[in-house]
Amino acid sequence: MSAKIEVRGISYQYPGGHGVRDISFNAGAGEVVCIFGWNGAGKTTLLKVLSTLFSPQSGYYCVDGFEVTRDRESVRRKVFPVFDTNAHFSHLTGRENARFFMSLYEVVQSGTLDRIAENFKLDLDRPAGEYSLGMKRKLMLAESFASGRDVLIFDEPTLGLDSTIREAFFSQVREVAKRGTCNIIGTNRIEDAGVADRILSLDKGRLCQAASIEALVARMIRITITVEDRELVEYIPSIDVLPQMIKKILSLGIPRRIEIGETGTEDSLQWTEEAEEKVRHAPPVLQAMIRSLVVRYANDHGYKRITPDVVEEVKKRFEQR
Amino acid sequence: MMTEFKALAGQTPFRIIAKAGLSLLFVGLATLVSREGLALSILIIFMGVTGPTIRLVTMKMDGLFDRIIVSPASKSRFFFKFAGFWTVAVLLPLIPAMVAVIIPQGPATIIPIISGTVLAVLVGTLAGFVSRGLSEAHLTAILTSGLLIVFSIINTPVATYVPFTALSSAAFEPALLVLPFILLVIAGVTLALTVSRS
Repeated sequence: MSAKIEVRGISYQYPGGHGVRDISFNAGAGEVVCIFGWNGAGKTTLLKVLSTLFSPQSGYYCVDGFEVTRDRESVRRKVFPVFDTNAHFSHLTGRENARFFMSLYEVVQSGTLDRIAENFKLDLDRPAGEYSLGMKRKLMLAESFASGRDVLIFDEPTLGLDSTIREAFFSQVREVAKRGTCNIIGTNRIEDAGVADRILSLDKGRLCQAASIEALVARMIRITITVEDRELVEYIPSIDVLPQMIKKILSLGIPRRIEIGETGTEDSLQWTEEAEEKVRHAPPVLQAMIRSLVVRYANDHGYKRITPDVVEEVKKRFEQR
Repeated sequence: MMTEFKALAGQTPFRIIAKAGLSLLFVGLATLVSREGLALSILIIFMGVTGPTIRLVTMKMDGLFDRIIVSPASKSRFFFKFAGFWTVAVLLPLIPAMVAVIIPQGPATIIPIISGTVLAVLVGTLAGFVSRGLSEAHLTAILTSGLLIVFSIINTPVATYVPFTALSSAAFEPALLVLPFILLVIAGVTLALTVSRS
């Protein structure tokens, strides 16, 4: 098994102008390549082109010497895509679903599927209609590994997976990569990107090489959510996304604390007593976050002291968003 | 094969029994006015066209269609298999109603019944393949079924090529049964050409 992908200047645009433009990269056998991008960056579109669901409108896309516009069926024989939809027949069991999709790839079911399902703690004999989101995801992933294809394409593979299964997934990716499978992972989760050999960052439909995970993290804002005694870390591309993020967090339950930026970092700015008092009026869960936001705003705008007016300005801006 | 059938055209026992009972009632009532052939034609057209159309569109909505399209499986073979499964799924609950038609009209009636079902399912598969949403699929299915019914009833030059004419016509001529196969071949070739580009 030794497949490689060659992409040169491919574009695919929807009638409204969104999509991907002039994408070029290579991915070799045994490599784990991450295509990192925020929502709307064009990841799914690019992965659909790589999966042959969409034909590129221009450029050159080749898998193992087979060019997609000339020999699409040969490309399809090499690739197994895992879309973000978790599509399965709900009236069939997990095993029957796997049997159906494996038959499309002319794969006779072997012990591989059972072994992977066991790793993923997935009951294959239950109807897929009874599966949770995470279980459907596990079934899709198990099918991809059991397919034995040279190229595996994953769109948001860890969506709905708990941390144990996420680890099992990446260990399986590493195992198939060792056997020469080329893995392309599209994600917007920084911790998933960290597992890849190489990260390609996709922004507004254009691809740029990211030097390292550190370079990627440096461009993002870290959010630390403390729930009971655990700290969960999420990254967002800009402060504009923060209100949505807070809404999402609060819809899942009230955490103990939400912080922005590195935890425990002291700000050197001087706070007036009135400004401190204003922050203390906010719900305790948000106080650390508000402090970080105010400090960030004050630094960006050259304030030396934090007065109630600065806090008020930040509050207004946050509410506007 | 059973898994594929269950996946693509699977019907629950309750559905099969309900369809069998209702179709027998419909054809039985038509027998009172000697129109059992026409009643069976209408049932085959509706069930044969709408079943595969709606199934394909719901598969598109669930993302199953995309998974099938990007697989290396031959699309012509896949969609013919799909049509084959649906022919069985349509005919199975109609067995009691078919018997009610074959007894008075003779065993040769089985030919237009089967060829008519194949035609309706091929057209339904094609309609499902080209439809982009559920409302579009419903509209296409109703229009196609309506046209097939009209061409089966009204005495036009096209009627000779529609298998259901032989079934619904009072003057049943076995020699004319060959002609409908031309329409079947056209439907099959159109389906093969359409799906092979996906």
